[in-house]
Amino acid sequence: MSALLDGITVLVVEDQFFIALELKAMIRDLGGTVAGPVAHLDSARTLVRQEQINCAILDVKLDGNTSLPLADELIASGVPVILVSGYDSNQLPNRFADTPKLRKPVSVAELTRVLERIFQQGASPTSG
Amino acid sequence: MPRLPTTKRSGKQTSLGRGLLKTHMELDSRLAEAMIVTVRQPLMVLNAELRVERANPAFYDLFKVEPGQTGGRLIYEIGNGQWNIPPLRHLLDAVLDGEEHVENFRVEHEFEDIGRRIMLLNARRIVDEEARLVLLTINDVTELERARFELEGQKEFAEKLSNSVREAMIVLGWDLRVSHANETFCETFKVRPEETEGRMIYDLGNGQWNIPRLRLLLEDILPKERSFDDYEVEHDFETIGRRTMLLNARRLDHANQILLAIRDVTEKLRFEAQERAKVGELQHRVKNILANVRALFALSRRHSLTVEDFVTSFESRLASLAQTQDLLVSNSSDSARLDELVRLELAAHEGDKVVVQGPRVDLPPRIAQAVAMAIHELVTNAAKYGALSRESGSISVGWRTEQRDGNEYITFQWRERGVPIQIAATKKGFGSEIIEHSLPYALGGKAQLAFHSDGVECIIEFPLSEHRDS
Repeated sequence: MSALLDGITVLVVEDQFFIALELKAMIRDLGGTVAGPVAHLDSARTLVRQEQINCAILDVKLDGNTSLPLADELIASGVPVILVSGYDSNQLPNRFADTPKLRKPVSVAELTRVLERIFQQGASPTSG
Repeated sequence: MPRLPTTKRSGKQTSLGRGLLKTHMELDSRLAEAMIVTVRQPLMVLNAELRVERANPAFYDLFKVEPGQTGGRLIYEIGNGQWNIPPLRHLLDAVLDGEEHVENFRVEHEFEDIGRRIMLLNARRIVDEEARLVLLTINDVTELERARFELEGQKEFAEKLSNSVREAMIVLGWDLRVSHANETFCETFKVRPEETEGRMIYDLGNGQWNIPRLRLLLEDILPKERSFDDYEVEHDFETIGRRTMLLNARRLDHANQILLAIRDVTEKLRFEAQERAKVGELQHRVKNILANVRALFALSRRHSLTVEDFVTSFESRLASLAQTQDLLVSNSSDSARLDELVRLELAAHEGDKVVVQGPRVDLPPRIAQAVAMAIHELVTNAAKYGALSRESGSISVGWRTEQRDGNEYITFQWRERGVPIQIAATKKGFGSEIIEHSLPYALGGKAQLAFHSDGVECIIEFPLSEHRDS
């Protein structure tokens, strides 16, 4: 199997331990390197400063918090973002209309499909 | 003007005018006769002995007696003695000897033929040269009183009814002035009954009922519709704060009134919102658990070498999750005691190999799940390679609490002894990852596994508060 995420570092922000571990394992299966996973925004920002992040998978709802400000920052600096919305997710703000989204629970197939759109079509973001 | 024989006569008459007077008297008496026969009111003329001199057709009609049975007879004897009424005797005696007339003397009496009657009696003494007479008129007010009684009864019934319902009710006239406000209304909206009656509804309680939507309903909708139901009105009241009310109104056209019922649904709505939030929270938690189980399933499969290995590890992890959930649910405070978690995880390994010691600590749900999962993995490892896998092994489990920066911290220690060091056990697998990271990952604190020459030691430190600032 060709490695889709060869040489790519993916930041994983997810506050549920087992779900984060599984995401990490999936990304490794696809050949990527994982930054994190982390459960909190402050540790995520630390990683963004320290490492070369090529892509970020963000759980929208973190423990009493939202990752959308971090999504804004990453998108502004040109890092592709995938938003993982919860099973009870509310409508996301309109500015994220074109941002790739995954619904929990995230399956390997869905994750692969979204990552393929980002990384196999060059740097251009996909249109939904 | 013709004068009735009942009028008081002047005793001073000149002899000169006597002829003229006689003519007048004849006219008077013919007129009186005509009147007696014509009036619809029963009347009797009694002489000084209280014998009936005259009675009129209205009297015969009402009391169902014949003229032949009355004329010349003592009043107390007529109609089988049914007029032998003590208050009447008293009245007649008074009029004969003292008072010139008595009016509206109320007598209630059960008559043989016509039943219970309420009468207002007017008695007037007429004194002539020849005789003393008593004119007795009988005003039968039975029906009138009954009607009034019924009306009052109905009014009382209506008031009692309106006061017994738990809904605030108010009766308005067409001019929108309050004619009645029930007890619930007064209690709910903190007004006194005397402050309501006769006042415009909009002026009640400092104008707090001057609500645009209510005006619309009363002034525009009701004149067209006859009624309206369950109109929701939200309003800030001066005395009782923000309320949500359902208004129901009926036009009572026959009485020119409006009945307005006001149901205060504020508490009900608040309760329903709470219930929805609870159900939402529960749903969130269930989905969360399922998502975790799914991830745990995938991870257990990933870290298992054989199917049997996978089945055993996943099944026991699932059982641990379930039993912690049971513990949380059975506890009304939505927390789980650390000692109970430890005992539950060790339940399959009874005996004196394990000593558990620590103060009572109540763990909130997420911490409880993470701690239970870590303990589960410790127990699993101990059963596979450690203290629970051999005779010589023993485990001491203990914890203490301390305050750090205003937070309560738990330091949990798991120490195995009597286990010869095994290289195999030092290889960190998925179980070790759970032990070292499941709690610190999202909830703060730290966990460390150490391999001593006589067995494993695990120390987990964590704050008791679930939310970490980020």
